[in-house]
Amino acid sequence: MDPFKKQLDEMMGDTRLQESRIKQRVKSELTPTPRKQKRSWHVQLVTAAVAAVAVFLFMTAVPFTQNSGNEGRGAPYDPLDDLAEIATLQKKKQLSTIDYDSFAQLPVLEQLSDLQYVDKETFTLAGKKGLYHTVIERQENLFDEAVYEAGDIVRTMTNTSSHLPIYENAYYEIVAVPGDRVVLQDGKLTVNGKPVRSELKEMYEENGNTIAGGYDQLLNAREYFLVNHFPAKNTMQAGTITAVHKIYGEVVALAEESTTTSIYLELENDYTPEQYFDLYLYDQIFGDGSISERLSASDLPFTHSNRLGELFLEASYRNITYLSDTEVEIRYQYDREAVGEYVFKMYKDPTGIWQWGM
Amino acid sequence: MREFDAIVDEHTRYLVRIAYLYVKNWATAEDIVQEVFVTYFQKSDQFRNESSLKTYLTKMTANRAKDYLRSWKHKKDVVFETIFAQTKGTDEEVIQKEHLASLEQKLFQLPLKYREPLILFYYDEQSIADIALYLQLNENTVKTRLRRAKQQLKEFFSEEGLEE
Repeated sequence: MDPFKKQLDEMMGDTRLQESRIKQRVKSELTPTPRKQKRSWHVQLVTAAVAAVAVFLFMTAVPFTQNSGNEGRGAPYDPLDDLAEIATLQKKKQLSTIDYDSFAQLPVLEQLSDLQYVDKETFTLAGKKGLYHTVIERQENLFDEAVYEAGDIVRTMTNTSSHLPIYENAYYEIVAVPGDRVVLQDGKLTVNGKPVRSELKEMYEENGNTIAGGYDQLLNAREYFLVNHFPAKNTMQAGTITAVHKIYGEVVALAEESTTTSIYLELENDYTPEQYFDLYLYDQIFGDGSISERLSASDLPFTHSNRLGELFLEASYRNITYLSDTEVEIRYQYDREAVGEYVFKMYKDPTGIWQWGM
Repeated sequence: MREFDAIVDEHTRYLVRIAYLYVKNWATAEDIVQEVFVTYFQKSDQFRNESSLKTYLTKMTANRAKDYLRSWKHKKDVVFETIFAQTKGTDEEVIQKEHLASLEQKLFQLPLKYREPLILFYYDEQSIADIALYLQLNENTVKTRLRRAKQQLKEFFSEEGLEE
């Protein structure tokens, strides 16, 4: 037996008790039970009457215009009807209630890998000292395969007023992945013809949340369907189809400010040119620009500034070539026809820090 | 009934362990395996012998375990860390128990996307190609995830195991 398998077996110990309980329960479930006695006719009549009254009350009590996506066939959903409400909540930071303690089970990393970065927001955990950040992992091959799975918690940054997605700085959950058919109408969400897991529905129902957005769509190879992982109570949420290059990675771990080594937490001079390049992009996207100013060898604005987010997320598509001890070339290559390459240069300054330059 | 006993006796131990490696909760693992058997015995005509019964039941168990992990109910549950009772015994036994407790803690800290290939490769002894097919990933992605999982659990692998 493989030594690791042996360790797993030892870790799980003796399971005879569990096994005998399962056998007993399966046996009793499969044993036919005596047929229930037929109910008398008047009980059935009363039951039917109660159901009819309930349907009547439901039809009169539930306003059928509560969502703008419920007009049915021929009346397409207009996201702008809901955009104002959602945008207002987002601006006032009332769209989400982040429960950071739910992240307490994640591992705390001592060092981040090249594709990991930290969320700028800090938080404390019950019973623990120190300030924590969530660690977000960008994905390899994000344009070439399905990189997220249903249930993954992801970081989003999109902020657009052109259609429903308004979820800047929020944790969303993947509900459907490329190839899934998503139908969302009258606030009811189905994926591949099945209602989304009842617990999700339950949570949104308990919370008094509705999901806006009318869709009947087969997700293409780059699209995911997301909903807010931490919806604030009694709010309308935007269930959104999102392109993979607008998802800023998956929440995989935690970093503790004083113990985790990361260029995102402390700028030092012993990182690779690629890490400095990432930090430059990171500061341009999430920061106030002061770090990227320190990391710039040029007064000129960054080339391709409209692709900052994409360049950050596409980290696995780039190659580094040392042109000399103090100069490197960073080249993004996608190996696809009609998709251009992006080339950048980094220069080492006298203090050992690498700076972006022309 | 003899067939029922034979199938349940042969597969329960393995399946409840596979379920536990996904969900980290014995009661849930029992529920999952119970459901798997009930479904199998009610619809065993759907089992087409394309794979062994063990493979078929393992996949059903893994799928149900993942459904549970994806559920919001599970995510809302507060999972208390396993507290290991003070152990009396020889030093060697205590060290061994601490080692296994540490394995359990680190194993369940791994996100499912890394833990699952590890379970399937080392515990279920599936090939990389089979895992890739089941998870609908390409083989390189499976290898990468396996490598990262092993890196996180490096103290539980020998040097040679890490280089594989």
